Amino acid sequence: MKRLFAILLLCFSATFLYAQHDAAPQGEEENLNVTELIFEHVGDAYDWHIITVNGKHVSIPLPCIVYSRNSGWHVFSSHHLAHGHSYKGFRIAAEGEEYAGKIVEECGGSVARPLDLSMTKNVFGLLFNSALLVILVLGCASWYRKHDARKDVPGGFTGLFEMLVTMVEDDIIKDCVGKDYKRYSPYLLTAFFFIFINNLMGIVPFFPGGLNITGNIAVTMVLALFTFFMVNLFGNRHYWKEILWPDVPMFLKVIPLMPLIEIIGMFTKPFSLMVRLFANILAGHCMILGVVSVIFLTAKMGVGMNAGLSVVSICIGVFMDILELLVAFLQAYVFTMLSSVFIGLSRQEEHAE
Amino acid sequence: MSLITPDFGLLVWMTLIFGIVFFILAKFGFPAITGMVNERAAHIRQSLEDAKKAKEELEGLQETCRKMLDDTRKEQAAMLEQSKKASQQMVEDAKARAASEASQLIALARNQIEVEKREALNDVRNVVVDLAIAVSEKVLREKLQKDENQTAFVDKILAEVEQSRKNCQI
Repeated sequence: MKRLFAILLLCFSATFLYAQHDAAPQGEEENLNVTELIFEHVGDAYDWHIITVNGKHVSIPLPCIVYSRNSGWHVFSSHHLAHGHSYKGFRIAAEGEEYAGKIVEECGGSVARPLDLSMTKNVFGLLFNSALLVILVLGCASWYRKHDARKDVPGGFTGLFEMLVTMVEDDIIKDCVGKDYKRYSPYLLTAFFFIFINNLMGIVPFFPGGLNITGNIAVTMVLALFTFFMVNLFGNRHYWKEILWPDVPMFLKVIPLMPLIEIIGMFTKPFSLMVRLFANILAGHCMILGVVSVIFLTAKMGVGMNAGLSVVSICIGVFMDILELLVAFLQAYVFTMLSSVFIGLSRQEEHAE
Repeated sequence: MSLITPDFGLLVWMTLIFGIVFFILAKFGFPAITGMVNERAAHIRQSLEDAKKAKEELEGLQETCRKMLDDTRKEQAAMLEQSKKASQQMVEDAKARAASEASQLIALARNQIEVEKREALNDVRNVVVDLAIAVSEKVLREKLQKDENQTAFVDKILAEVEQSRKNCQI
């Protein structure tokens, strides 16, 4: 019964997800531009668009923080820039222009891009999800502070959370990092739950979820950079020897072919982490949106066609949503596991020979 | 294109937010949870070991108990045996004593009888002697009422005394 309810919920959420992003273009123009719709969803924005009712946009304006070389710092609300309006010389570049969708500054006929530290939709999503994560984790931690761990066992959410934590720590961190795993386990656990909660919130189709945060390359880049520093700052002698002076025939080191490959490897590892997470989540969001768009694309093809394809679309949509649930967990798991493996490799001791 | 070019603003914010989240969770969140979980795991391991040890101890105790019970049973049997033997001994002793006492009594009685018999015989003899004396007195008195008889008798006695004296000298 619970499962059925979950599936129904997912069904409805899929439709909501669509409604959130679709109503606007449908109200304004007859032809639905699916590409634009999908890109609008997966990209960042200066305001948080929640819903459009009868062609009226409901969105939260967010603060824009820009630094211009001509006029210094500016902080203003994004509603000044809505619908292509210009404010203090700043405007959002239109489609087809250079820096499309970003804030640009017009000075003396030329268009320049200011230093843009605006708190965009994704920043707010990040803040919200991070706050949620911190509250959840600290809530669980406070349970342990209040109880004697030797006498009580947590139930409910704390129990579930403990299960996840022990799973990540025992299955991934302990096995992959090796003997001094305790030093790295806070980072790896944080990375896991950070990615996991952002992935999950991305699947939730309505406000404040539905953002494509872990499918944004800047976000995954920062995560990958954290892993990069974790690996390279605390790598031991053996690790650096393997990179700079590996056990290969001399001629491969005189012309530093192997060291070169190893140094490139240092960067490709986090790069792969960055791209894997980014591409998986982005693709998932695009797929779901595309599948749901089918309903509205076929609206003009007659009732029978539309109804038939809607059923197909909802079925595939449900399937995709469930798949995304799996992917949300899997990508968090994979990111954590590979980070652990890279850290483990950098902490490896010399082989006994 | 903008999808795959990281936005600088978001990069900065993400670094800041993730850094803060990492700091908070690494300091107050996860160590508390994993520490407690590890503590509990250690506690459970300890408890299991204790239980195992207690079980072993209990088994040892049961073994000693069984041994003690066996010992007691054996002792009991031995004691029974011993007491049986003792009682038998006692009965036999008593029998023997009774027998010896009886035989003693019999012997005593026989002695008594013997003594009394002898006394009786003596009495009889005395009576007979007295009778004989009385009879012989009467006979002698009858015989010695004549003088010649008296003289002859005295002579005879003297001769006899003489004879016996001679016999003594030889």
